[in-house]
Amino acid sequence: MIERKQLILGNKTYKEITDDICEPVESSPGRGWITLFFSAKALFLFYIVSIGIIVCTGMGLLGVNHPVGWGTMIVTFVFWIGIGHAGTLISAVLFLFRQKWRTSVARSAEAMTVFAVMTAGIFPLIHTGRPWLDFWLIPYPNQRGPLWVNFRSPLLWDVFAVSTYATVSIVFWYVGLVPDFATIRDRAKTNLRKKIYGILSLGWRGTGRNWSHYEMVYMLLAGLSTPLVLSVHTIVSFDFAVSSLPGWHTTIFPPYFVAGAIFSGFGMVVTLLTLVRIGFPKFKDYITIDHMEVMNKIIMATGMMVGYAYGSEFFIAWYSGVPYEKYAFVNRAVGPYWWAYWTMVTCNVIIPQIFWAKWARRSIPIMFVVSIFVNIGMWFERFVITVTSLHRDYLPSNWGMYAWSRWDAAILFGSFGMFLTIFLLYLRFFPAISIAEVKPMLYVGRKTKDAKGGHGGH
Amino acid sequence: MENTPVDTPNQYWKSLDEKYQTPEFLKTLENEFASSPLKSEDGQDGLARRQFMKLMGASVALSAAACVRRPVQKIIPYNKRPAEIIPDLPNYYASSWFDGTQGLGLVVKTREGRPLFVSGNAEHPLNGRGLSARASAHILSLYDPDRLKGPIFNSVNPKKRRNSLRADAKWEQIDAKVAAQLKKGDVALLTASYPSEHTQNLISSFLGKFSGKKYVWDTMTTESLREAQKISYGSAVVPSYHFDKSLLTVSLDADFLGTYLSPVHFTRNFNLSRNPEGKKMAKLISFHSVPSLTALNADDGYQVAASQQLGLALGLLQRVLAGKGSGLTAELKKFALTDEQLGFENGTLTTVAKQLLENSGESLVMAGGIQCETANAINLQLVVNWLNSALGNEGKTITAQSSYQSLEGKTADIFELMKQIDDGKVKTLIIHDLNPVYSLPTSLGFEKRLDKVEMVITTSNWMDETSYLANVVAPAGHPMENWNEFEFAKGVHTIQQPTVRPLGDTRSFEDSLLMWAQAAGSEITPEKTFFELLKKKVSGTVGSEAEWFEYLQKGFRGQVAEGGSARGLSSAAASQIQPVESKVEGLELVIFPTVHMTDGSLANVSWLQELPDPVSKIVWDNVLTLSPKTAKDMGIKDGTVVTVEVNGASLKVPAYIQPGQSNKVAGIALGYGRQAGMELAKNVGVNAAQLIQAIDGKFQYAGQSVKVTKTSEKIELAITQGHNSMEGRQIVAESTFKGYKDGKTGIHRHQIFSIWGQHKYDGHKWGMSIDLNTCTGCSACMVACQSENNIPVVGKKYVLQGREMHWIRIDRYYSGSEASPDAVFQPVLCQHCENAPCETVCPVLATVHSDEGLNDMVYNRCVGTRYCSNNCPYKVRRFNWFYYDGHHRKENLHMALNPEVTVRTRGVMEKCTFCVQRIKDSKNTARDENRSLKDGDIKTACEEVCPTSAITFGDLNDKDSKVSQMFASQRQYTLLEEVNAAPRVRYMAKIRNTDRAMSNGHHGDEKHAPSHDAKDSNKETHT
Repeated sequence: MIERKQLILGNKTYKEITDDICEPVESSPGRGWITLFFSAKALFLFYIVSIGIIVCTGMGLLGVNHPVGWGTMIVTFVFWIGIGHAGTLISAVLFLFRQKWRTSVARSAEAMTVFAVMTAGIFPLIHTGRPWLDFWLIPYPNQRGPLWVNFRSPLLWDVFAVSTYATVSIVFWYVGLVPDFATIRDRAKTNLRKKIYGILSLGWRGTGRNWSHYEMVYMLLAGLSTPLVLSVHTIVSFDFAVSSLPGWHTTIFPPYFVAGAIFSGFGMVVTLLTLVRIGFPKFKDYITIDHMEVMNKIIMATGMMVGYAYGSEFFIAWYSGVPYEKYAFVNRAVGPYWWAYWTMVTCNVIIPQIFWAKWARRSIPIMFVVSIFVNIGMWFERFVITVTSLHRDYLPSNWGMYAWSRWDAAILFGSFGMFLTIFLLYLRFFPAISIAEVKPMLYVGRKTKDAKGGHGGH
Repeated sequence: MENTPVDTPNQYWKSLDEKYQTPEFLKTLENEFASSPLKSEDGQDGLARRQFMKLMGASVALSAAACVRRPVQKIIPYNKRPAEIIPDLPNYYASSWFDGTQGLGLVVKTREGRPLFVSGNAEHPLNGRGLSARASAHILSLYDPDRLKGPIFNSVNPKKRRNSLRADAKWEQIDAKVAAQLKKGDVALLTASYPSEHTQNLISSFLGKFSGKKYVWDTMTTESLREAQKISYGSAVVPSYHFDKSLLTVSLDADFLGTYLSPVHFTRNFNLSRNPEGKKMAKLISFHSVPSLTALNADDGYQVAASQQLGLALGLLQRVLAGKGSGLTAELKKFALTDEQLGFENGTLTTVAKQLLENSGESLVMAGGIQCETANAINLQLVVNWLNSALGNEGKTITAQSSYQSLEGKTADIFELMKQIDDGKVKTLIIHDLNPVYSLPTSLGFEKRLDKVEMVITTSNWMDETSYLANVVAPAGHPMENWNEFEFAKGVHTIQQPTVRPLGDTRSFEDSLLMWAQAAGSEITPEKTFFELLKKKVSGTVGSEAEWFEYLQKGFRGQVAEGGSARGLSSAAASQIQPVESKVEGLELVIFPTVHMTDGSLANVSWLQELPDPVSKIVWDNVLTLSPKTAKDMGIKDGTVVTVEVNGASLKVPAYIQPGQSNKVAGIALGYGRQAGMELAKNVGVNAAQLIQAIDGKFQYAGQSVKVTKTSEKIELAITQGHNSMEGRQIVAESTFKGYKDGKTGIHRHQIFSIWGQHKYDGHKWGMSIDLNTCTGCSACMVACQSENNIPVVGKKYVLQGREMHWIRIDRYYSGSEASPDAVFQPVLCQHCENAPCETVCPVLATVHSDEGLNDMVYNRCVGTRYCSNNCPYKVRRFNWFYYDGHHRKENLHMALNPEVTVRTRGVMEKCTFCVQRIKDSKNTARDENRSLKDGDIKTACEEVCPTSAITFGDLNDKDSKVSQMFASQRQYTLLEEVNAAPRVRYMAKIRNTDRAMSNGHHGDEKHAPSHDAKDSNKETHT
């Protein structure tokens, strides 16, 4: 029997685990974190101001026009929603499949999901012409007639899909946090801390009854979240697939979008965790190279899946015999936006191929660079789908280009400010690795070479 | 006033100011309402309050404000309602408008005293219902904020003068100054042709009193035509052309469908002989230097340089005469060009001549317009006259019975006037209806000579280039503010009724003449105003007061004379043809007018600036057009800035590659580059008039050697249609006349089935048919739509970003070779699809199907996701990216808003509604009259002004309606039928009368799908 590699290195005791993971929450931040935080915060504030100006002045500040009615905001929305996928996949799907390696990365991946969905959720709200009337998209009894919503519109499905996903993700994440909050509460040295974490831990006592309920709820929520992993991006893809626009009107979109989402999500998890490992060196024992390698394998696999989707789109366009469809795809590859298409293909399909080599999968610098490329590539994938399909459709007289402006750039980069600000705060206030889930991963009572884990080795 | 409490009956006081009767308070008392929507200074600028109330009416409530929430605005009802005005109901007045060479009979729609929309006077013998884009747009110049509000006395030396140094004056002061000056005698009046005998008589009497002389010059000159007519036939007239009787029209650079003489009338007539259902269909052959609207509508088009026009005409004449058994003199033969010299395919001229001969008496050869103003302009017209006489067209397709006799501009007058000024014989110069400083090249020196005149008076409505240098500006007001009567064509009198009281303190030119004469002590008539004079004169002809009112209601009297005999061609005419050898090497210049800008007089009308040029689709700029080959050879791309140099005059202008242009020609449009008085038009493009050459007492607009030098600069051109090819898709279906007679329509029909049932319509089912065969692309519909539906303009910057707002656009596609392409025009508006893709995707149901088949847009409900636009295969939806309604609020511009149509706020999608307000209006009228709607009751704005009636709107549930019949035509097809959006708008295939094999691009008439006839494809359920 091949011995499995240990998921936690360094022969930790339970106490050491608790100490390691609680350290960022209980110590003062270092210079690196402060620098990063204030940069991110500055970007976030810039983002808020930009949004404010756009909402007050008009969508015309962005590059959206006739015929390209959707641009940076929708592209970036789909980008962030996609990012969110890895978290739920890791925490829920892998939980149900009893993939024990998930325990070290699940918390941060889930946090990333929640923050990515928050970041994404801003866009549908502000991309409308009259954001102050966005609440009209919510079906509720009202005094305007009552006027109902159009249940046939994919945008409405989007409202439900994204809000459901956000709710379930947050609940799932929070429930997982409860025992850890209790740990921090119990270790708290100040009254204020005790109070805040006491409230957050919802009166957790660590009794058998607590644990029993907790396990049940966690299991149920995992079961609830799993279909959402598939449904959210499927429905987001309907925004495109249900329309009649050549380049959007394709049945491959749901699986293609889900694969792309998982791909980009893992890309972002790798980006963040490589940084977390640098920032909190003690976490290296928990988020090991083995963890990273597994995720890189998933990146490569999903990268090839989207590569397959790119190819099959071309095949179907040709096979359909529809001239508009054919033109839309030829235009993607060789039209005015060829550079966007080939950036996408290079970043998403070609670059991840380096992970065939084991040394590359296990090299932190390489995986960091690749994950950045994956993020770039996946943003361009959404750009290619949204903008290049719209800019040349049925009637050649309508053809035009997207009028990219500096506001587009402000919105795109500003959204990273929002995401990073929240993520950096999370690292300092929440236990970034699940203490409760990691502990059972120790080789307790099993044959080990130099086991001292568990309760001190007896 | 002392600040002491006054003992007045009003013991109660609102403020201390009132109590002490401070000067400030007394001033506020002059305004009756403290909360008046008027600006405090408005009382002084002539727009008096009560009149303002009258003008504004309910419209105040409709304009939205520039902030997130629409503020509550007060509306003020009529205190005393004028008898003829019922609030909310429009009044219509017959009127007219003269546009340089073209006269149009109008019906002006007014609401609460504001003119809102113009359409053609349906019974008018010239233009009928049709209008030009300019005529639809001239209503906006009425509300132009840059228009002068009153007379101005420029007291400072012109050279040192800035606009800010002018002094606003009162008419009394102006009249006194002018009268004193007039008494000195030596008056000169420079004006443009003006077809009003009343005005002309008045001018004669006026000048008679002050030993004055009249000088007449037209920017869009017809001088060569008239001179040649005089030589050939004895009288200098502009004859009338009968395109409806011509089966073959050969245009030698005459843009009769766009800018030459009377294009709306011509377009209307031209279309009458172009019915493909008939046995014969007229054919149009165009020889052009720069493609014009006429060239793009030609069945066969050929490129010639301006300097070759005469040689080409002689070549044709030679062959025509040969067919008649005579020939040219050896002298002229020398100048006749051959196919080879012209670069045509061998036998082209012979074929054209043969076709002309075959259609003797039923053909028409035409040359003219400023494109033909070369050194050989008169010779060309003489040859054309000869051709027409030889072909027996004279007296049949060309008659002098209903000539346009009022056009009388002479270049010699300009030179004579300058000479008189030089000789010190002009003490007073009155300039009316002309802007010579702008329209004449600086090199001519006209501008400098104004200094030598003691007093220069202009009647311009703007502080324009000429007014700026004048001593007195006496604004004559907008045509819609003044009375007159025109005789556009001989025997056809048309009244110009004012439809609004002058918005500013302006006074018509005629009234000014009367006043000045009176002030100078030489009264012309006992009548105090021109209106009284006019009424007396006209009443003398039409009869009683009742008949006068009848005339006003009808708007015109008299008809175009029918029949008539052929005028004999003078035997001396041939000897008068003395061709001048062209000395052009390399490129030659052609200055041409465009459909929307022509002479630049309406340059400040934003609707026209943003109206895509029908040929190039460029807005907000003029360009140097070059053929694709020439541009390639010179390494010039669209937007490359080039220096254009003609005999020392030079301009810097961006280049544009124009397919179908002669390789030897560089073209530039007139009417741009305004410098003064028009804020909107200022520095938009360059003034091509600077390149006009004065040679031997004539102005040459074309055929001069031009040096084009590339610079490293680049200007982005705002082109509303970036792609000119149909990419092999079936967008405009096209067939040849021969093919059509064999049953080929060029339409590829698709077998479409749906698993869903169709909507049912118990009442009306609206539909529209657009005949691509009659659409000439004149773009009148675009402006009419803009006027009717309060469509904003966005400016060049935003057109560049693809944000123009037109609800109806005209797509222009080229097919065939770049050097000599065929063109097609296609108006595209909301197709009101049965299976509307926009309706399903709107999350808030802001766009829904009405029970009459309209695709309704609910602005109030729209949140602005723009999903509908993305999902629209026709991309006819327009989004309010900013507060576009803001621009209408600038000064008077909001008064041009149609109160029946919502002004859209920021963040809302908008699109064509099939003029739903007109549908509602007609329904109400029908209900009031206790009858059901009749076919033709409802006319959409675009349909109403279309000169060729290419657009037909009506009820598809009415089997006898015109639109139902159109839908049953075998030429009808659906745009993007295979998408199965099932549009309510159907197009009718274009039929080109040519013997060439067409390169349509799409596999029309292929039978791989079972062809189904019109009835089957009309999928909706009739109930």
